Amino acid sequence: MLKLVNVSKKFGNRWAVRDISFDVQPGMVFGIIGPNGAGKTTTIRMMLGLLKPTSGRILMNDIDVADETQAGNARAHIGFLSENPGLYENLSAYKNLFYFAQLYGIEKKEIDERITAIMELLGIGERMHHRVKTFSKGMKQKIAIARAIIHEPEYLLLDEPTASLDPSSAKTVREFILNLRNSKRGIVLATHNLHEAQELCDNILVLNTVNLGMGKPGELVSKLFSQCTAVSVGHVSRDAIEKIKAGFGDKFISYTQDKLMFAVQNPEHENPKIIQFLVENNIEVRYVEKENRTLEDVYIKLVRQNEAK
Amino acid sequence: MKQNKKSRRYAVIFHKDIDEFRSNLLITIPLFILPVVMAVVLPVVTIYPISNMDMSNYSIDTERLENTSIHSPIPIESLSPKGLLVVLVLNAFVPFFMIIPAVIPSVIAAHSFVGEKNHRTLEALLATPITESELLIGKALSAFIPSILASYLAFAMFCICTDILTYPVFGAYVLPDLFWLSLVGILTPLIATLSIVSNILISTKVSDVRAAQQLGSLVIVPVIVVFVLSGVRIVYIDAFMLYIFAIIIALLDFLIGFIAVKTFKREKILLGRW
Repeated sequence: MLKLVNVSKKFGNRWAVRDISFDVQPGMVFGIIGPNGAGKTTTIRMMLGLLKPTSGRILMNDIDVADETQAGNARAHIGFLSENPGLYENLSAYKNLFYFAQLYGIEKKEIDERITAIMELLGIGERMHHRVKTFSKGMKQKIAIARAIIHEPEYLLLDEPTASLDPSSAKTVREFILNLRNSKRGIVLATHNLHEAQELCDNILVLNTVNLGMGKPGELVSKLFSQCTAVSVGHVSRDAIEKIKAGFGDKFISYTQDKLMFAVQNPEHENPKIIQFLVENNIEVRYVEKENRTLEDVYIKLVRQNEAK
Repeated sequence: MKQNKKSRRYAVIFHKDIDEFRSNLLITIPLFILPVVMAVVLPVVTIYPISNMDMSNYSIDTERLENTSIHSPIPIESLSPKGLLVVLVLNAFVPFFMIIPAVIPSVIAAHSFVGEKNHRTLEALLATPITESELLIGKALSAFIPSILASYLAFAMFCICTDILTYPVFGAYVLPDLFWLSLVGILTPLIATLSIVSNILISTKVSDVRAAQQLGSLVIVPVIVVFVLSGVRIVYIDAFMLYIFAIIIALLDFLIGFIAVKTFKREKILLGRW
């Protein structure tokens, strides 16, 4: 298990990360989402033992990652992939992988077999001996994925792995992450892409230096938002909006793009009352539908609440 | 077993860097150009004209020579005026063989250390189980070994060129002699080490190869000082001066090397903070 216990990191007088704790189990994708400068990369770097926490502990199978005498052992079980593939452009894909495989201590006789298998799996086997600088960005990221798993790590730390990829390459990477989860690896995914996080992650931490919220995506949504009814309408005057506000109070959420949003506890009971009120106030009702809240709504709400503090 | 893996990792870093250098013209060109210019071109354009000069009307002021400590491969009292002129030119070449081991490692080490930051390969490299000392030694070797080979090769070419060009003057093949062997044998590794440890120190702070090269080239300053002082005849680089210079460089190697090793930590390398 990969475990963070009350981890903080301070650069000079500025806290980059403050008092965060979470566990990552094998077979789980744990997402870290947050705005730029929220501490996502710092957290990943601390988990890799590249930065030492100012306080708190990071344990990988009970090995303290921050302890330099044990960090090498911990790193041998962790794979890493960042937004930048960070490959040696003048060397071939094969040489890049061969180099890292040797650094991870894999026996030479095994390396060939592993490289061939992974490259075939990623569909770039025939270009294995071409120089990396001749590859597209998507292909480079595939090689970086191969590098991250060449030593068959138990845990994978992914820092914005699809940030600079075209949609097709990003999809390939996402599919690969799902395959890795199925192979019982623990994965930590730091990302800006909230749809990606919602699609891939079992648990999510919303981070902005501090822990703003953590849990399964569905739980976070239901914890922060009640059910919501969206009513598509014709033109609504300012006076009418004021009347709606007066009539529904906090239950009226917003009016945007010809859509009125209402928070409801019991839709069967409350929706007819909403419609009746709108019709009585001469507002043209076109559709009524249930509005599904997403991780994006959770993220925006938590980050704005934090900024308001 | 653990020791085996460690030794292998130095070699892995070394082999990868050599592979990379071979395909990088910014490294291979200085590696060949500098030794060829200093060891072949300069001797040819300076010694060849002297050996063809008619100096039969010249004589030597032996009194003045007694007060100098010019290094001569043959007894100074048996030198002809032409021979003396050649010996003075050979003495002027001494600092060149300090410049080669100062400049070449600086170029290689800048690419080797700071190049990892520039090409954004550093983070993935530091994320492997490699220890800081393994990385440091592997990288230092990949700068040290090619530089030493280039310096020794340059010296071999210099000896061959000089012997061919000066045979008509001295009537014998005079290089290498003990002084030159000591100069190249002792000072070359010491100066190369100074250049490399300085670059290691710089690499933790700088993330641009050109900036690293410019800062790293400051190592050449003591060599230039010696060059200028010998040029204006304030200092003659004889055997005694050579050993004094070697001791000073060795002390600097130890001091800067110690600071570099203490500074070469993952967090400092990654964040560029001392």
